[in-house]
Amino acid sequence: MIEIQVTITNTSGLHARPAAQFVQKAATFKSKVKIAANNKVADGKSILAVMSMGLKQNTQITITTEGEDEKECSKALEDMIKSNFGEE
Amino acid sequence: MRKYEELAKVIIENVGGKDNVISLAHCYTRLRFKLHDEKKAATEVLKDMDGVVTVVQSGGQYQVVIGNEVGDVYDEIVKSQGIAGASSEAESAEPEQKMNVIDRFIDIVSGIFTPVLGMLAASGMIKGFNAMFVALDFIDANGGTYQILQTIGDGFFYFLPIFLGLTAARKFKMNEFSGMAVGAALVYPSLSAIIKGEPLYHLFTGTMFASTVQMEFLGVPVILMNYASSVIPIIATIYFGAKVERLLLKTIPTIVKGFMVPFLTLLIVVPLTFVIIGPVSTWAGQLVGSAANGIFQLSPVLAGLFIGAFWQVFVIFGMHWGLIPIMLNNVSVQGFDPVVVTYFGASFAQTGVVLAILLKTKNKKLKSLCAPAFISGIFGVTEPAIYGVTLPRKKMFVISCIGGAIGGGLIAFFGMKLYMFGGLGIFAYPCFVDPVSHDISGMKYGMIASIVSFLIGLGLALPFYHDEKEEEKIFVVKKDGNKILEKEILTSPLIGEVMALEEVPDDAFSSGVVGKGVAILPSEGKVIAPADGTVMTIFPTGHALGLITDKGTEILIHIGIDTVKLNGQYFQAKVKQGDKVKRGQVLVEFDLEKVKAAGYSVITPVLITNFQQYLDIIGTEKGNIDYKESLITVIA
Repeated sequence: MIEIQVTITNTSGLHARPAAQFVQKAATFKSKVKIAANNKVADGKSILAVMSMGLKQNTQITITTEGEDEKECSKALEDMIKSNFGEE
Repeated sequence: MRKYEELAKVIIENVGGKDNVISLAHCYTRLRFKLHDEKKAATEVLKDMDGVVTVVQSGGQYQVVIGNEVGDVYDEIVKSQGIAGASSEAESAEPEQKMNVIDRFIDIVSGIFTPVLGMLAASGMIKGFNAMFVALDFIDANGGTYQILQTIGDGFFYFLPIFLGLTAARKFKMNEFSGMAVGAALVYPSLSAIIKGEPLYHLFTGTMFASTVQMEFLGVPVILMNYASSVIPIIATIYFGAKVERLLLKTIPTIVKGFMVPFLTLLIVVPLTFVIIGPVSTWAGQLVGSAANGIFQLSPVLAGLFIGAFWQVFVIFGMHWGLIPIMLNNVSVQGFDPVVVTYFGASFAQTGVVLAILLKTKNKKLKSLCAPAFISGIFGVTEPAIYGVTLPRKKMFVISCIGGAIGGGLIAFFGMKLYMFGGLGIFAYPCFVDPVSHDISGMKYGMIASIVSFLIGLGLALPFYHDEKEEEKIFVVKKDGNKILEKEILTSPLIGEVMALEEVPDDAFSSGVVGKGVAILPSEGKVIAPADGTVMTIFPTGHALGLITDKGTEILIHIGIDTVKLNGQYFQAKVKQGDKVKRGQVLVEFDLEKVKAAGYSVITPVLITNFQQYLDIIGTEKGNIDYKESLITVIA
């Protein structure tokens, strides 16, 4: 199990499109993915769950990955958030 | 499987009886019928029937959605109703039942080409690059490297009737080797030598049907044509051959069937082809030739439009062989040809259309075909483009004909002439240079005409090409032990035009990974609840919301593309997270015109995000939808 902490930096937060990208990326891995923030936990592979967290810019979140490809998964998701989902 | 006996019986009754069924296959959840007449089916009765989820009519197939037990129902139908099941091969074949003869014809031809498209594209590329290497002086046109590459590239094209003999035999259900044997006989090399030899005598001299007879078969004159690379003769022959074979199979005793059936099939079919198809094709070609010549006397531009428009059609039917002699004759008598050269724009128009499709399609399979078809098209090898890309999409083929026509008209208008025979496609330009005066204006005209044809093909195809709604927009996951059929119908949250998810200009949605469903191009700025449920999430900006229905279906509605950037401007959320909502209740209102005016697409994906829990997700077949009309059916 790998646990990392990342801060959402893109302006609009984890709204639908970035959430979709996040879930899409997470779905390519076998590992279980969980997101925790503001005392809530969500399944990182369910877009509605991720969206309902209402994650805004500058929120710190914890991503937990668990499974055979947890390392790659964790890295890929972290990179994605740090790249601001391709937003300017 | 007693319990499905009744269901099987009632289904067959309601698709118009056993006699109305052409074939039947099944996939994970659906019985896929091909019916003689879909109007005979009692669609409404079937839809309401216990054990039937719904009916989908699509692509010439009449699909009865059953759910998990479809395999059992299928077996029961095959067993007790005596309907022969289709093989898995037939299942993947093109739907045969269509409205008119032209549709059917195109379906059959493209179906026969489907299995060889990869090979066609590969050979086309080899031929094209080989021509390029020679044109650029990388290799010598008389050298072995060129010869061998040409052998590789052209072998498949030259012997195309043999390959099509195989695929046509599969299509018309004839013995595959008999089909190939027929094809091989048509392109037997010594025949083409005989064509070039001295004729025995002439028939109908002085008429439009003037023909040279090179041989007789049992005293019947045989008018040979060049069958190499031909398409329609072999398809017509196999269509007929399959019928002959079927008749023989019924009449010949089993003990000698093994060799007697192909023995007699070949002996009947091949000579008949030579005696009938040869002259018919030859005469049709001559007819086209004299028509083209006649029109040219009246108006060269009109003749250019005519030849340019129909060149590709002539090629498909082999009728261009009636025009080539005119070209040869003109060049040898006058030193140039101003008539048939008007075909020149046609291949560029094809190539332009293919480029448009390459740019627009999201279908990976089609894309992978368009790329080689485009490249070989530039070099004048258009078979991959015609049979793989444009012909199956009729409108695209027509567009390429329009481009060809304008190019042909321009060529005639310029008075461009062909002085010698040489390369195809872009390598043909030098053929338009006057070898005596070295006047290169013809080459310039050729370039202008080909660019115009190309741009017309590209420019018309871009707005008119849309990916077909993929028939299988369903995602299927088998659920273990679940025999209870659960379904939920979600009604439309919007009014507007229904589009395939693949058409959404945003990968996150069009890829289908986030969820399965459809997209709507709304005509009114109001979103209502598609079912009773709970608001799971709604963005402060109001442009996207998630619902979970009381039955557990999770729905994401994302209004417009990239509309988050509006930061809530023009959007007004009417509900908040955690609210219970009733079907039809207003969720969000937005100012459609202002969102559009701000430069955003309002196309709205409506997605089932927990699609993995369902057997099948079926989008509506309707083109336009009103509020509360049924939009998506999910089956657990």
